[in-house]
Amino acid sequence: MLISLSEAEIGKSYRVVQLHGGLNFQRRIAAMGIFIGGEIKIIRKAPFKGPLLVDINSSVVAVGRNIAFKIHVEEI
Amino acid sequence: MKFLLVGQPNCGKSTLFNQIAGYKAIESNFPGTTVSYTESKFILNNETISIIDLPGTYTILPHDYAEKVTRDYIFKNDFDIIINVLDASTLSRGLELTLELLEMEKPMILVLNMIDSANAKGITIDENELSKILNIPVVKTIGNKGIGVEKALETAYSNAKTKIVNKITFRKDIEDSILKIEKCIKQFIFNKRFTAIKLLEEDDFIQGRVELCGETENVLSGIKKEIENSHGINSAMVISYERHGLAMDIFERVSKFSKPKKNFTKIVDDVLMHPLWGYFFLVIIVFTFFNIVFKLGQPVEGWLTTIFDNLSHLLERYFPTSQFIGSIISGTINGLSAGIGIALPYIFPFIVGLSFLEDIGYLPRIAFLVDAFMHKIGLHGKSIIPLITGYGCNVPAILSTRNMNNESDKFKTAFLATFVPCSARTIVIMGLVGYYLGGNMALLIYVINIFVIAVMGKLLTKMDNEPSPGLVIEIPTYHIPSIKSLSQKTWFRLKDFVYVAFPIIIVSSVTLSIIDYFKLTDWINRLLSPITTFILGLPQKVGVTLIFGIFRKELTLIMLNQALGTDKIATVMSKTQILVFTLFIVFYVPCVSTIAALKMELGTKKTVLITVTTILVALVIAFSARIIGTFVY
Repeated sequence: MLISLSEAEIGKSYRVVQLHGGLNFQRRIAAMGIFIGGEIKIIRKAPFKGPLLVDINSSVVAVGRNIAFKIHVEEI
Repeated sequence: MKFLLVGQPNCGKSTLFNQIAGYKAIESNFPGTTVSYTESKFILNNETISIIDLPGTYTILPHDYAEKVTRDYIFKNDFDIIINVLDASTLSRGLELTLELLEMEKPMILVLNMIDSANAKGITIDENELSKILNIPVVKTIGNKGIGVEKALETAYSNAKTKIVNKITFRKDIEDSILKIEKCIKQFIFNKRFTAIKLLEEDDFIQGRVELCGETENVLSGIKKEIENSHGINSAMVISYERHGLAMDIFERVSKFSKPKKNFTKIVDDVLMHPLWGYFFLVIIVFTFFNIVFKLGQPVEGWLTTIFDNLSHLLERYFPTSQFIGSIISGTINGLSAGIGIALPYIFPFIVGLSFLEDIGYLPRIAFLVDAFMHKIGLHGKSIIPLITGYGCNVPAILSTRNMNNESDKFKTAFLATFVPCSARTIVIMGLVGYYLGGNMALLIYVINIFVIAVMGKLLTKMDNEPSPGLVIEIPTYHIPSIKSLSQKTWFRLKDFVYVAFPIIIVSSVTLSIIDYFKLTDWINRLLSPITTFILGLPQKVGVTLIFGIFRKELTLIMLNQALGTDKIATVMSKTQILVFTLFIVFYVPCVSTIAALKMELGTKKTVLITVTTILVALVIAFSARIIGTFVY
């Protein structure tokens, strides 16, 4: 089932399926290692709809909710 | 000979650089920017070698200012070899930059830094295999311990000027497309394949420099369409995907995995990034930070200002201020006194502390914690750094906005940072409201200030249609900062402040002396009376202090005593008047040094806009305080 990364749960791993954003958006997240087909593990979430802390190929990245909305994933 | 250090942010490149700079004979650097490159010279095999430390970049397709500095440097300057530094514990991502750099086919070696962190994560890397695959020398280092640094330099030295052949290739259809573009290219940068790849990636630097004939344009757009149809992704991204795939592949081929050791960073983050305790410690850390800064600053300010006072008394004996030359000299001394005696004692510990929090890795964690709140005022987590910096001094705050990802975020953050009460304004708030009306009222001013910043942020976001792109930021592992890198950072930031602010402080101080010498005070007071007496209900005499305040905010307090002829302000001004005056000072006009920094970063038009807005906001707030004050007091 496809969900947005912002709905993902702590401790679970997901595969990136779709990216809903322009070239700049794609470049920015690609620089952090987020690619279609890549794996993302949710480490923690900041309260008040703050960013998610995720593990991407063993580097740790904070992803704001606005960005997370545009990243569609499925649970592995 | 010239070596370039290129690597991703947080790869330990600067620590490595500082180890190398330890050998140095001469040091030089390029002023004016915090995100700039550093050059250092050292002697190796009886040859002077200059080594350039370029800002960390994830790719040479820039997204922000620091990355642009790096790309432009690589493209525009001659060099003998690139030392590509890579954090061995995030090898797969780091390799993407390595593959991109390889495409230039310039002399290059790879340095696998932080091998110890990789081992702690349970990753062992076969550097010989990696070297074979990439066709360049690979050296392992542990930068903060200096291990392997010498070998890396020797390797760079013996491989300088040996052009490399890039053996890495993409999937066949992509290579075919690149070849088609290559055939249409007449001028190129580095080599035809590299130029073709960058055209496909839509790099603005290359696009602007390689003239495309009509035919090339057609070929290019045809190929882009083809790629989009067959790969289902934006053609400008296809190369990134290729590199990503290759990097993952290489990573798996050269790495062995075992059980990771206990993760220190994770244990600390369980507390410092905790949904509840994280904020508790954030408040404690920020509070302690400011306390230390002020506790360290106050006595030093006392000593230094005494020295300058004595100096100016001494000089006055020989050059009385009643003479024009004497008044110029006294203005200069006062300017120096303000810069060195009042500003530096606070700014120096502030910058050391900020660099410490940055080096240890806490700043991006603050961004993570406060992102949700910053969103409410139309910004995101990254903006918190300039805003916090603003409490020390607005000048470095404005300069640090160049780290923001886009113009709109940069403008908004700089705009709001000018409203943050800097240490000079804190002196006024404490000296007037704190002293005469009590600590709670002083605190209220800070609360009002934060409220105004939030409202301004909301308004700015409403006005500009471009939504903030949001936060994506790497959270590095914690590192014990090295003294060398800390002092270097401090020095650069301090120099920024000194270069931007000092000349202006001194010139304005002399101007003030001239105002005094020609007795323009009364004239200025009358000129400003529509604002001071009519709108704000203050004594006409305070007018001139507002002019002084434009130059240096804390001067308003000193000059207020002088203008009113007493240091017991409460005998000549009512409580409401003291409050109104202080509020006006806190909000109106960024000081001249800040204006200079704004102009440097945003240009004249936006600087004027910000300055005018601050005056309007100050008038509204101070006038409201006057109305409310008449009911309360």
